[in-house]
Formats: sequence, structure tokens, C-alpha cells
Amino acid sequence: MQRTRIVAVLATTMGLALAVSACGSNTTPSASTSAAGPASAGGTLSILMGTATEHWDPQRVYVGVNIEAGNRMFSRTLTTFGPVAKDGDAATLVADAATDTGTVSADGKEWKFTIKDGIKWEDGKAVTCEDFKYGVSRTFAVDVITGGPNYAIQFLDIPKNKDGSSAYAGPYKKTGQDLFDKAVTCSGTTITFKMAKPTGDFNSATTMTAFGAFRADKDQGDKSNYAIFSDGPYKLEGTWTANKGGTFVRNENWDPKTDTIRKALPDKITWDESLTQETEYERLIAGQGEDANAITFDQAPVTALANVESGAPGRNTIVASPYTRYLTLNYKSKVMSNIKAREALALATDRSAYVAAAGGDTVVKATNSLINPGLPAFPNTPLLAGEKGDPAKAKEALTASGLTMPVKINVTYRKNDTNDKVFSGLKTGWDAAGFETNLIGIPADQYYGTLQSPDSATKYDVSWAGWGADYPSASTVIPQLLDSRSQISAGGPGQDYGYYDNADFNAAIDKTMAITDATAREKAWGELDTQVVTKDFAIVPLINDQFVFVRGANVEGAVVNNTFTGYYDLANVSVKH
Amino acid sequence: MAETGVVEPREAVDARDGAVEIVGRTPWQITRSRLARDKGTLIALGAAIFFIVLALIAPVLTFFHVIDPYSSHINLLGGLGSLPTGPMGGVSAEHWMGVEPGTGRDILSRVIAGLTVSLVVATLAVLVSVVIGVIIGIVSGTAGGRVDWFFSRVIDFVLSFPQTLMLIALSTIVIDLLQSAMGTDRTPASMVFMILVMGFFGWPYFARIIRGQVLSLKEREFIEAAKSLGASPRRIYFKELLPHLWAPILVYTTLIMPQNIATEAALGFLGVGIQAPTPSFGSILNDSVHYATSDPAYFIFPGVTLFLVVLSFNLLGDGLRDALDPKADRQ
Repeated sequence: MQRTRIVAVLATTMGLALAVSACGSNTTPSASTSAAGPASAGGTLSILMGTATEHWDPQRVYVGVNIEAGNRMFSRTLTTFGPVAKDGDAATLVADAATDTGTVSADGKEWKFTIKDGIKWEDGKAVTCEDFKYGVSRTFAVDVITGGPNYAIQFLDIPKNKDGSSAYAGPYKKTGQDLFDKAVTCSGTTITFKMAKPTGDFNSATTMTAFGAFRADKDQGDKSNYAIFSDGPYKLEGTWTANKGGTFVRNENWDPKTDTIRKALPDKITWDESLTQETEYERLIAGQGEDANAITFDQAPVTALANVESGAPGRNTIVASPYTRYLTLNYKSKVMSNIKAREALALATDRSAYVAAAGGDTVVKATNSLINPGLPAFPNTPLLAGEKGDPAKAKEALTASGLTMPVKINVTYRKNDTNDKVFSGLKTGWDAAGFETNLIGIPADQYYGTLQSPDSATKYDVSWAGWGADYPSASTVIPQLLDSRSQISAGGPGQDYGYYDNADFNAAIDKTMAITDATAREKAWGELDTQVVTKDFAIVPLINDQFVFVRGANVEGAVVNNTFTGYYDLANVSVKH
Repeated sequence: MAETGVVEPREAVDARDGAVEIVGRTPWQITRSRLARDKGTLIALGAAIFFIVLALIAPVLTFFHVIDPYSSHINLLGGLGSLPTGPMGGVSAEHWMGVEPGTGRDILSRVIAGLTVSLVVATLAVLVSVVIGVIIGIVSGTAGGRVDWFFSRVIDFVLSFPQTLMLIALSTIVIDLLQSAMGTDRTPASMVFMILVMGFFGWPYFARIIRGQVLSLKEREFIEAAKSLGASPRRIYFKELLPHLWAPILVYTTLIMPQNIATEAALGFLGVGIQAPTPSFGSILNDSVHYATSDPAYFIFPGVTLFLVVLSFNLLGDGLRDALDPKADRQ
């Protein structure tokens, strides 16, 4: 937060109670107890986006932007990571809709939360324990409720079928409903979850909106995708138009006394996702008119970076993002099933080209770990051959592989201008080592769908991917990307895009999940990361990006919350007006 | 079109008895003399030839490292956003048009290499259009009746399709199909895709013109004479009609070329088309537009080059049309 504005914001915080309790009316505090500063309740916050929202359905949201915005605007969860005072501060796990961060039994297999009194839906009805139970059950309807995280399926004590799917098929089909009702029980306002295995950090998983409440009578299945029904400070006005956006207005039934997280200062929040990242940053940097009240969750495109510091001094933020970009090597392809070929590719990878193409080392840092540096599990694996790679050593490895040179490989990546430059640079390095690289750029809206389809096994040898930890534990990184049992199926590789399938590795994952001591557990995750990168060469980590954000001059309280999604936290945002 | 009856004296020859002898000239000689007087068109012709030659020898130049569109020069970049550190976008003795932000690749080399892709695609597309259009135009014009009506409706149908939208919509699927059918990298498949689609949408333009010409020539005496002498349709098409059609074909070819170049650039601009790292005008301009405020030279150099290429073909086409027949219908 800007030093010059802290005083002003603190001064009006005292007037906030008045303004906020008059929810719905536009009155600004008439009698503040101290000098009224510029920041106060009211005004319209404008959110500009260049990426379309795929899902607002809480059980289907799996993108950081929508988790953050959804949770802070309309979908409260049992626990959450609280807002922070300044960029880069670590957030603490706090209670949101629950009275505390939950109680766990001694064996780590049973979690209890008590729902706060007074939390209401936008139609005035109370949010009940049954609403939370129903919300969690929707994740099991895997054919309808698609796209969301499947931690509920992974953690809850519900048996699995022979093919790996859960014996509970969700609240629409109701097959195995009794099994679910035994695993998640409601007693008054207390909800109890039974875990399949000891799960020490379940109350971190409950920060995701997938564990948010859902009203059974409002459930339209797939059609609920954009039909937001709120229990938070804002509700959707009218309907949401895909690729265009919508407007959020105050939820009169939200009681600020039940909510220690959200200040809900703006009266209205408009969300416009019809733009491109380039145009929205031009507007934000110029900051004319309404754009002075705007923020974005998109980070600055490479082309705008040069203008960020000169054009928006004092209202830009450069912070570490929770994301790692990496390459997966396809174990099912003829070339990459050969370990020497994989080693050669890893040795010849020129990360300095990536850094340059993505905007320089202020915004991008080379890495050789899948886990990002913000997590305690970060093993800081040293680069195999320096930042530029070593084509000569790689050529030796490739010759040792026995494959006929030049070795043809198909490399896919998500197509945009920056990645075109990145992969042109990477291609030069690989071709110098004896590969013959064929680059295939796939448009963004089809990219992950293509990687996750079953015929990706035969079409591509190397694929680019990005991943951020869902919450600050590497248990949201290693198993999500490399556990073949939960990822690979007849429907495709899931997130294990390289079809990495190692029984010993899977056993090591189970052992690590069961470790109760957090430090020892994170260290074990780090060791698995190093193994998969330096011994198996299944993954070639490339870079960690920094996020670069620009905000409008009238926007205050916009602080990046690194622990909770890594974007601007809407909880304390206000607009000068 | 070119009226064979116009005769211009080339020179006066003193005959023995003082009378001036008038020597007739062929249509081509007339055209050449008109062209020779039109300095603007000659310059455009020179420029067009220069660009074509450059495009043709670019792969050779790359092979012998005279130009280098692929090597990065990260040491020439700096700062937040990896912009070129030299003046005017990194202009220097080695890099006459500067270097590309993010990679440091030489822009002049990339523009020349992009010229190859753009001109190859545009030329082959025009050839496809010409071949299909001329055949259908001749057949439609000479056959008349139901055949003519049918082809005219086909022409209307194809002309009403939005070409660019079709290109974008079909691109991923068709290029994948072509790639597996051709068994090559993505770039040749993309080029074949664009040639086929642009050729397909370009032929009605030619067919209409040729059909119009054929309809007016059909009733002429020399056609009737050939028919009455028992000439086969094929002889009529190729020996009687075609020589009169070269002129419009040539003119409209040079006018469609810049359109095709611009379409290819637009496709690259929209993200469809040639796969990186092969440069094309479209992909270069697409990238450079975003650097408009931070590195304008990156847009100006390739933009001006594209403008000059398109302009030279346009002027050449106009000039040829004027030279071949100044009284020709402006369409």
C-alpha cells in the first residue's frame, strides 16, 4: 500500500462501520470520528480482463483469478487465507464462514467445523450446514460438474470403484449417496468430514471455493455455470454474459458483523472481460476517466512492460507469482521414452532465451524445480547445464541414446507472441544438440484441452505447461502432476501431460502424504521434485514468473496476496470517489 | 480490350519519292512504347522485380549466412521488457533495421525471409485462381444457356463467403489434416492451406472478367469464321480466344497479388498462418503493433516495407492496364 495513503485509509476505517452497516444505501459517513480521508465506502470498482471466465460455479472454479474474486465477492468458504497488509507478506489461515479453522481428531482422519450464525444468502435464507454439505457433494458429479479441483474425491473417506472413480456419483444420480452421507455429516451447525487417510492440511483445502456452500434448490447442473447465487457481500445484477462480463451490486443480506475478512467498500463492481491484455494495460497505464478506478487480474503483457514503470509510477506491483512454467516429456512417444533423449533435451534447454523473450530477469527467473520458490518445499535444484544449456554435452547424450540423428521432435506450446519467441530460442538450442524441432503453437482456448485428450499420447513429444500450487503445500503440486493413479485414465492423462507412470514414485507419494510433521513432509516433496527432474528427466522446469500488475490511480487497498492465489486481494479494495 | 486496328507510326522512312512510309506495329510493341513513356509504372516494375528477386534468393542468402533471421542476440536487449538498447530500435551497422524485442533477431533478415513466404503464398494463390477462373470463365462464356447460368450462380455463391472468417475458422483443423497428409512440418502445411483457400476465393474474380471478355469476343467474325471452318472447341479456346485474354489476365493478376499479400499479412496478424520461428509479414506486424509506444521502429520498418511491396504491385497493375488499353473499362 502507498505510504501517503495509509493515513487516509486508517482515518476512514473508523467511519467504515457506519457506512458498511448501512448496506445498500449510498451514504458516505456523515460524521467520521476523525479527519475524513479520500478513501471511503462507495464508488464503482472496475475490473478489466482480457481472459474469459470459464466458470463461476464454485465447484467448477479452478483458476486463481476466479477463486480469489469468487471467494471475496460471493462464495464464502469455511476457512480462507486472510488479506495481507503489503505485497509479499505471508497470509494466515483464518476462519471465514466457520467459527474457527476447524478441529482435527488425533489420528488426522476427522475434521469438524462449526458454521457461524447470521450468514445469509442473497434471498435472506440462512446458510446452513446442509448447504455446505451439498456444495461438496456436487464435486462427485464428475460428468456434469467438470473443471474443478477434485480434492473432495481425493480426501474424503468414500470407497473407489475398480476403475478408480468414486463409488459416489454425485447428488444428481445419487448412486452411493449413503456412502457420502457417512463421510460428511451435519449436526446442527457443525459439519464433520471423514478423511480416507490422515490429512493434516485439510483445512487449507477448504479455502477453495469447491468446498463452498451451494443451495440445492438453486442447482441447475451445467446451467449453474454463470448463475451466481451469493452468500458474500456482492451479488450478480442480472445475468452474466460470457466473454463480456457482468456487474456486481451489494448483497443487502450480507451481515458485515459475520465477516472479518471482507470490507466490501465499493458499492458496485463491474467486470469487463471483452478486452485483450494489451488494450487493458494501455488503458490502465493511461488511467483516463473511469479507468482510474480500475484494476485487473491479468498480468502485464511483455509488450507493456517497458511502459509500466514510466507510465504508472507508484501504482504498479512486481511480485513473485505462484506459477512455474515447465516442459513435460511424453513417455509414450518413441523418442521421449528413451531416457538418454530426455537427458539430452534437458541439457540443451536454453532458459536465457525464455528469460529474454518474457521480458528480462526482473519479471522472469530461471528455475530447475517444479515447486515454486515461495513454498517451504522448494528444493532449489541446481540447473543441469547453466542458464544457457550445454548443446555439446546434450549431443553426447543424444548420440548415446542410439536414435538416428537428427532426432525429430514435435513440441507444443500455448500460442502467443511471447511463447513464439521463447520457443524459437529454445528450438535453436535443441537443434544445436542434434534434435530437429517442429514447433506447434496451439491457441489458448484449446491448449489444455488438447493436452488432456487421449490422442496427445501419439502426437507430441514435448509440451509446455504451467502450474501453481493451490495452497501453500507441495501436496498440491507433486501428486496433481505426477501421480498416474489419479491422473491417467481412458479419458486422457489428466494433468500428467507426459504420462509419467512410476509405481515406486506413487508409493513414495503415499508415504509423503502420511507424514504428519509439516517440515519433514515438505522436505520429502522437495526430494521427489529433484528426483523427477534430475534422475528421471520427466520434467524440465523452465522459469518462475513474477506477476506485474498496474492499478488505477483511484484504487486503494489493492494488495497482492501471494498465499491466496497471488493476485490482488479484493477484500480491502476501495475506490476514491 | 486492345483494339488491333489502332496503328501508330514508329518512324518515318524517307522513301525514294519523298513519301513517308508507315510501318505497322504489333499490340505488344504498342504496349511497350506506352510503358516506356510512363516513368511511374517503370519504377513500379523495377521495384516489383527487385522484391521478387529478393524473395527468391532469400533462402540462399540465409543458407550462406548473408542474412540471419533466426539467431538471437540477447546482448543487444535490456531493461524491463527486453527492448533493444540501441537507437531507433537497435539500428546499427550489422542491423540496418534494428533488432526484435525479446529475442534480438535481425529485423531486416526477418523482413526479407518474410517476403519469401508472403510472395510465394500470394503468387501460387493467384496462379490457382487464374487457372480455375480462366477455365470456368471460358467454358461459361462459350457454352451459354444453362451451363452459364449454373456457373454464374456458383460464382455468386463463392463471392458471398467471408474469406477471412473462413480462413480463421478452418485453419486449425485443415492444417492438421494437411500436415498428416503431407507428412511435413507445420509451415509447409500452413502455406498450402493459405494457397488453396485464397486461390479458391480468388477464382470467381477472374472467371467473371474472362466470361465478360469471352461473351464480347464470341460474336466476333473471326470466331464465326473459325467455327465455320470446323475448328474444334479446344482450338477455339486456346488458339483463338486465349491470345485476347492474356492482357486482362496479366493486369488483374498484378492487382490481385497485393490483395493476397495483404490477406496473408492479416492472417498472420490474427494468429492464423505460418508457425514460428518462420517469419512472415503478418506475424512480424502482429508483434510490432504492441510495441507501438515503446519501440516504434519495430513497426515502422516492416510496415513501410510491406506498404512499398503492395504499392509497387498496385501501380504496376494500373500501369499495365493503362498501357494495354487506356480506354479499358475500370471495374
